[in-house]
Amino acid sequence: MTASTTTLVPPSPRGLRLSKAIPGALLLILPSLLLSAMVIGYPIFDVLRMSVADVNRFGRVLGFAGFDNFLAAFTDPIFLQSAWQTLIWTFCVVGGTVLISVPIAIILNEEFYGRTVARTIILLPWAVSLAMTALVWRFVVNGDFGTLNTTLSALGLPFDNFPWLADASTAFGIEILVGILVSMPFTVTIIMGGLTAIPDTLYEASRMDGARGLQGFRHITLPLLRPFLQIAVVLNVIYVFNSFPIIWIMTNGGPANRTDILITYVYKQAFGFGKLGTAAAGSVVMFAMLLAFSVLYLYMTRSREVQQ
Amino acid sequence: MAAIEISKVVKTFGAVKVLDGIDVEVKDREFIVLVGPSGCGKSTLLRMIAGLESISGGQVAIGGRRVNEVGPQERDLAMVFQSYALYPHMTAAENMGFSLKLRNRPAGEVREAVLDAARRLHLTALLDRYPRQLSGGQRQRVAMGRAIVRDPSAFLFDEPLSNLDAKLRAHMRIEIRQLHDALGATSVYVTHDQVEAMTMADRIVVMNAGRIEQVGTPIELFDTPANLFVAGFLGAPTMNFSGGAVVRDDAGELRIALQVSPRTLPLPDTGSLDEGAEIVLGMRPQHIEIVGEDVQDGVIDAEVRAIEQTGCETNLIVAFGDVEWTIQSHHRVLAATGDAIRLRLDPARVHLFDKQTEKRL
Ligand SMILES: Nc1ncnc2c1ncn2[C@@H]1O[C@H](COP(=O)(O)OP(=O)(O)OP(=O)(O)O)[C@@H](O)[C@H]1O
Ligand SMILES: [Mg+2]
Repeated sequence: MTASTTTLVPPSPRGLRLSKAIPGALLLILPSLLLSAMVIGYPIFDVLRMSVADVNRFGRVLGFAGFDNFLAAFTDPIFLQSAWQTLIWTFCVVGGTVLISVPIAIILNEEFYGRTVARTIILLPWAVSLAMTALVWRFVVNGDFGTLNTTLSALGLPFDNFPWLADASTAFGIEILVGILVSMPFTVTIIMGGLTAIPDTLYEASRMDGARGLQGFRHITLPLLRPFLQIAVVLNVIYVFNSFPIIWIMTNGGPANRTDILITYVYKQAFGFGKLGTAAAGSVVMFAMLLAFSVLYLYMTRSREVQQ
Repeated sequence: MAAIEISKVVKTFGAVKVLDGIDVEVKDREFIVLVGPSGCGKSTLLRMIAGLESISGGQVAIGGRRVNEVGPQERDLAMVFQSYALYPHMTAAENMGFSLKLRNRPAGEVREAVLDAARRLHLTALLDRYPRQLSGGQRQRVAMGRAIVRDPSAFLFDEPLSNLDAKLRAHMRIEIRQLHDALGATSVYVTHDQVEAMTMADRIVVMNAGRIEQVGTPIELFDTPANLFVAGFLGAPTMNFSGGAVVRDDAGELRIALQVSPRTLPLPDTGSLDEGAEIVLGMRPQHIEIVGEDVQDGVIDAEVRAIEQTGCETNLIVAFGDVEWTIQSHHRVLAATGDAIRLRLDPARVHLFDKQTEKRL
């Protein structure tokens, strides 16, 4: 969280003046740089190596395989299906999160009785581990003894023993909802930060200028929130794209791989089927997708800054 | 343009009453300045006229129409904020044209109106800049431009010049007043700077602790302050005060005995004062004359505490025991700290106030 707030601060031009001091500074941070390179760099290197290697199920490299692993992945219909589902998953979770976080942040930013309590409740899911949340929701939507069906039945609705997770579309839908629920606290926090940065006098000025109803939101709030929304989108995309526990715990990618996303696919390839090479190739593809997204995002925000 | 009538206006925040029965009538095309010490409720009153603050009691009418229940959008007023409140994501031109854009005016018309306002305010070269690319003075102009672009019924200013340096402030004072005259506008201007009040206003409203102390033209307020508060608030350096009483001298004439002086002073003809009346005497620093030892009547003796030469004028701080007065002279006064000095108080310019009611006599 602290890392993400510091990225909100634009780099100061003063930082450039420090460039003369760089060799000495570099020397000082060299040990930690090396450590980071080891911890982050080695796995990346290893995955890249395995993705073009013939690897046995115990991770031993038997020889060079060229693009065989990638071919294996791309000719596997489940891989393609998972890739497609990953896009749906990421798009729906991030989109849904941002869409509902904005009004929630706006409400929590208003003065009202019990605001502190409301803020705490909204932020609470953050404090619970993802795996725990997923587990709880798996029980809630359980067809036979889940509280959801009990409640719906008690209301007289025909949901007795309805197997929510047995059907791919309802299962995926529920997982997306849970994904939104767990991404929301973080997103609301970012947006609330953006809202407090907008001075009240701007709204007063806009009302004097004749802004009514939602015009203040459209012309003041939304444009001034844009940098915050961008950060929320990027961080959430990276996070949700790679999010493993919800899907793994709730449906295990099933039924019939219809809720698999790339990360669960890769995991299954590696540790279920022992195809470490295919898994590595899948990981490289995932990495490439996120990289492409980041570059695209940087390009979009850059061109907007140039406009201003 | 329109007149604004404020009658018996009350404002309470919770249990705290910050405005208590305010009556002001702003005439059409008038430039009214609200002054008063910090926290006296000037901004609150202005915001109530604007519609940004609810009205707890009384009535505000604009152009004869009661607006208590009308939102700021419908009051057709323009406001210049102390912080300027420019939209940071819009260029100067977009800031100025925003109100017209909200009214769905055609783009060509908006551009014309913005250009027109920009020409008046010498902003034409800055129209494409964002607020953060403008200096404080330029931002102030853009805020003014945003106000004049749509030709509102009245302008409201809340200390618009307080973030500028002294020189620019003096310049903008004149410019705002000229703009007001050129547009035939009605303006309500809040400041705590009495120079702004004196130089810009048609009429000044002096406020204190949620009440109006006096309303009048700058000269009226300066020459005949209605009470001690107004007398002490307007004028720089501030008016000198001394307690005193009306006494009868050996010749049977009524005179003033001041706490600060063993000599008595002639009593100005106020008609209503009798022997024994307790008064406060006020004397502007500019109306005290330094005289020689030979002058005997209407004088008091003091000791020089400090001298400030500003070049044009000399400020003397003199003391009578514990009481200190300021004297401003346009002559170069050659005195040294500790010197004895004799001062003549022009009887025609003496201000007398009742000690109990603090009202002018
Ligand atoms: N929202 C509020 N809630 C409670 N009290 C308030 C509120 N706004 C203003 N006040 C109080 O009302 C009084 C008048 O405030 P106001 O801002 O009108 O003063 P002012 O004359 O404009 O002072 P300044 O010259 O410092 O701007 C102050 O005592 C202030 O504390
Ligand atoms: Mg104020």
